[in-house]
Amino acid sequence: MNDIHQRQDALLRLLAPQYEVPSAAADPAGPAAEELLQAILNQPVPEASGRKPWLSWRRLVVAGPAVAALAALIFVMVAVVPSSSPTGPAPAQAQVLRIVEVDGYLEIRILDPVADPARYQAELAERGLDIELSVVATGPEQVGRVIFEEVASDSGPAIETIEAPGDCSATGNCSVGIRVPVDFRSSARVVFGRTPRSGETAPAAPGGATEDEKRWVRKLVGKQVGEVRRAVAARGRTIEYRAGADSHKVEAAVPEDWYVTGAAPRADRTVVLWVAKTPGTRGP
Amino acid sequence: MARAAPARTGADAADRFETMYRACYGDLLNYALRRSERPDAAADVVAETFLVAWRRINEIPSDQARLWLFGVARRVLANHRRSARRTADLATRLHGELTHATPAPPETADYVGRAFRTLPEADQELLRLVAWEGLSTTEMAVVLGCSVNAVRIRLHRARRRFAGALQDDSPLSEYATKGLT
Repeated sequence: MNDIHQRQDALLRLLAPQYEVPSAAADPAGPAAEELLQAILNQPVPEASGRKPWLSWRRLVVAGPAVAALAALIFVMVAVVPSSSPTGPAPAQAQVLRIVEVDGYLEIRILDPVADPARYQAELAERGLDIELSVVATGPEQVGRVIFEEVASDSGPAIETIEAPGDCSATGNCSVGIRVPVDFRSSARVVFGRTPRSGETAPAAPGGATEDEKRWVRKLVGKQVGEVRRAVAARGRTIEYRAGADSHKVEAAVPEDWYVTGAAPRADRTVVLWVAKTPGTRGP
Repeated sequence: MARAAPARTGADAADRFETMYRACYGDLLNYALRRSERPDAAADVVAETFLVAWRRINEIPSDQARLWLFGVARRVLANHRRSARRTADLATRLHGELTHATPAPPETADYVGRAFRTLPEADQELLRLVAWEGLSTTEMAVVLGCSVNAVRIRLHRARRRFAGALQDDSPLSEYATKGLT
């Protein structure tokens, strides 16, 4: 890099927006980061080997011909695979998706949430779409919702969600289906939530806690440890303490007159408490 | 480049994800904050990017997780700009905390920002990656998914266009343009 580049970069650095971010959000081990981490880990565990290999991460950011070629290849493969019966056409089956064309979009909703995923792919492929659609067991908040969406290309038309005002979850998710532009030529993966089958365990709600529990935990902030310790025990929860600027786990007994500066519920019925000698600080 | 870790599930995947999450959280949050229109919108970008990472934890190169995340975040941001769709609410607290994040006023003259904003988005992102994230051309190639040579050429052109834009009305044009054309 030459001197001119260095001066140019110095000017550019001055353009970078600078934020005063609260430590509760900035700290990778702080309450905000901890809540997000637990929410993500409560999502379905990634499969070791998928039914179909997903696009490489590199292809994810490469728009255009490579992805289009891949989509075309997959479509051709679907088209030439013989039907399951070698002696004639397969018996007619009920549709598992409702696909309606409206104003240049294909509106897609799930009709049968427990169908074989291959049937979703087949119906989408009939429309020339390379969309890997799946349905996973979720908590009641996410049943029927789009809980994950990933599009391979960052150029071209985007997939939108169909939102139903008045039919939103407590977390603000109003999606009931997806809208795919008829000229969509990229690849995508979309996951809907469904009610768990009998005997099936759904992942916990985001954060592993109900909204009531989250509200209750938030109210612990600012109180002294002794009071909070009794309140948490009364609800049958255990506590994990963290303290200091590095948010280290505290194994020793925490004095009752310390303060709770942050709190987050975890899926394992543990409440993580950030504590300090004085309110509103992260130390010592 | 190191290969992605062998495919595993359950506790192993969670451990690897948590290690990557703790190591990259700050950088990804800063990346998103600097590029989002509102600070709380950065919470959605961070949440969505890490969610993609969790879904694909078995594909992430162990020594380039940060660059991999930047590449995903770049695409997430592009999707957000094109559609104001709501995302799954995974980061309630982060959202709330960032609502109170306050931006400091820029420390440079208005014309620099104006010149920068006249550049194509691709040029802007190249210059941001080099000046804001401090990435080398090799690292930028990973984020952008193209060859190092392509990055060098594009970066050279972006610098030249930025210098030209500054030259239009800048008293500092001599610093920006000399030796670049």
